[in-house]
Amino acid sequence: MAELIVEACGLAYCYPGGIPALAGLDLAVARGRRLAVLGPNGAGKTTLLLHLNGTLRPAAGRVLVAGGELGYTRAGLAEWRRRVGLVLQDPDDQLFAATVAEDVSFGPLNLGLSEREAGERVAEALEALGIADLAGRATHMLSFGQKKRAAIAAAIAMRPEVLLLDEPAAGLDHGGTKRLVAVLERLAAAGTTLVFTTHDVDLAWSFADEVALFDAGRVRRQGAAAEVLADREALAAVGLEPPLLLELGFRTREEAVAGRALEFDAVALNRIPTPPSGH
Amino acid sequence: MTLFIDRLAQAGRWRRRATADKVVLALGLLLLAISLPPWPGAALVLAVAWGAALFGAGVPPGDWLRLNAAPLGFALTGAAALAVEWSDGGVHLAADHGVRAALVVLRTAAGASCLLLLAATTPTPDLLRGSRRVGLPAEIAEVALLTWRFLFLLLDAAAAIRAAQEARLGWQGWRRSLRSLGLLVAMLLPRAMERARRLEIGLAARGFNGSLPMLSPVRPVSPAFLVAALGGEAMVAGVSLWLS
Ligand SMILES: Nc1ncnc2c1ncn2[C@@H]1O[C@H](COP(=O)(O)OP(=O)(O)O)[C@@H](O)[C@H]1O
Ligand SMILES: [Mg+2]
Repeated sequence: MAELIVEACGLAYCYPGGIPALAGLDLAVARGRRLAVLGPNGAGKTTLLLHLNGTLRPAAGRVLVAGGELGYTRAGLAEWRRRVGLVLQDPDDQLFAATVAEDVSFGPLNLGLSEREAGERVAEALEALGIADLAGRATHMLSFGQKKRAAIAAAIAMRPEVLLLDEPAAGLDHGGTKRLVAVLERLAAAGTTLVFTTHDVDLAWSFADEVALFDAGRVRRQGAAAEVLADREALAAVGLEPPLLLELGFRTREEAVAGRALEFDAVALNRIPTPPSGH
Repeated sequence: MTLFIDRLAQAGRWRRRATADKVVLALGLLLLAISLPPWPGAALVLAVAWGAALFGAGVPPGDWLRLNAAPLGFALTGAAALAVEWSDGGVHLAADHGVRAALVVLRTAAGASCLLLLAATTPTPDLLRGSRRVGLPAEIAEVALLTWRFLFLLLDAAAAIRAAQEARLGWQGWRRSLRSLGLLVAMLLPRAMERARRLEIGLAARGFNGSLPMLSPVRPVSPAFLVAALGGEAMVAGVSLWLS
């Protein structure tokens, strides 16, 4: 078993007003993994991410980073944010500066880097996201997809060991999602551990190597993506269905077992997303 | 209007020019417009400012006229009162045949066009960064920058709410419109608070500890531009003092 980089043990959290969001949640993330936290809306995925970078403090339970508690002190949180980056779902919640380059420079400068080093980090992050040409652009004059990439650049400019992404593909079109996955592939190849939330089984299937099924504030099942996503019962229990491609496989097998030929249905086939490279 | 000027400034040819360059040109001209005798001083300033905006900065003529329309309108209506006199129970042209009124219009138009030249070529954040360099406290500049950024988010939110209301016929007739407007304003406050809360999470995730350090682009001042600006201003001053 690889070293655990982030671990949540028995997390419980209620929002003010007594709305329960996490109820005894356990999650373990091994270094170098790409973990999809998969669950329906309102399951508590965002709340979980906010715990994993120390923004929210659990009512019960602990969050460990590389086996130790960093603590909720000023110094502890500073260390925490350096090691665990966060990309919020809505990029407008993150981009505060007037221009893209200024925004991306904020994190590196907070790390105490010199202006020259920070400048290099900015250039590198913008390059990685393919938005070097937007460096001087006003943040309010970007498309949604561009904002999203700027927000990710702002997080990776701090070179975190773990990057948390909340619904990274939400609101992106097909091309935008493909570009995003390519960027994440590169980050993963460079050794960054990725944890992303999604309610999209197809995205989880195309990119994650591990999946945590999440419902009602708890992880119901965590395991290899291919296994968990093929478990129709487990998925159904949290209100999800297997990825379309797997679903088609199941159907084919069932039809074969029943001795019927599968009818060719162009409409159904049309809905099947092309599996991205790497699988 | 803010948005309109912002769009011009962000897209303009002088966007990447040093703020100092543009300030020297625009505020220098403004100083001349105020201090020189309006004829021919203000007229010359007006000509130079319009020339700089249209040919130098490449502000589209229609947009430039639109910007100038409001201050010009004010100046004209105000001057109309100066151009006429009440006597013998009737309205007459003033004894000076409206010369005084024309001079007031000239000076107002010249002053306004100098400020508009700066506003239409320099995005607000640049002005704030510039002010910071000449002594505006960092805290104030940061708050102003965040406010400026927030303005656009609020406008987006307002536009979205308005569109949603219109889609359900909320803006038909003044009675419903008024009610919808009230709801919109009432919605905007909690949305803004929620947005601010999440912005704080986003900042904290990147190590926010009370200040907003940023690598701002350094745009070197252009000696050629400065020489041209100061030279032009000296010429305007010289010519108008010599003529008057
Ligand atoms: N700021 C908040 N205040 C009160 N309740 C909240 C807040 N944010 C989320 N919740 C509630 O907590 C639960 C989990 O929400 P969330 O973590 O956002 O779920 P997900 O990201 O999986 O959609 C939901 O029931 C939601 O209504
Ligand atoms: Mg969420």
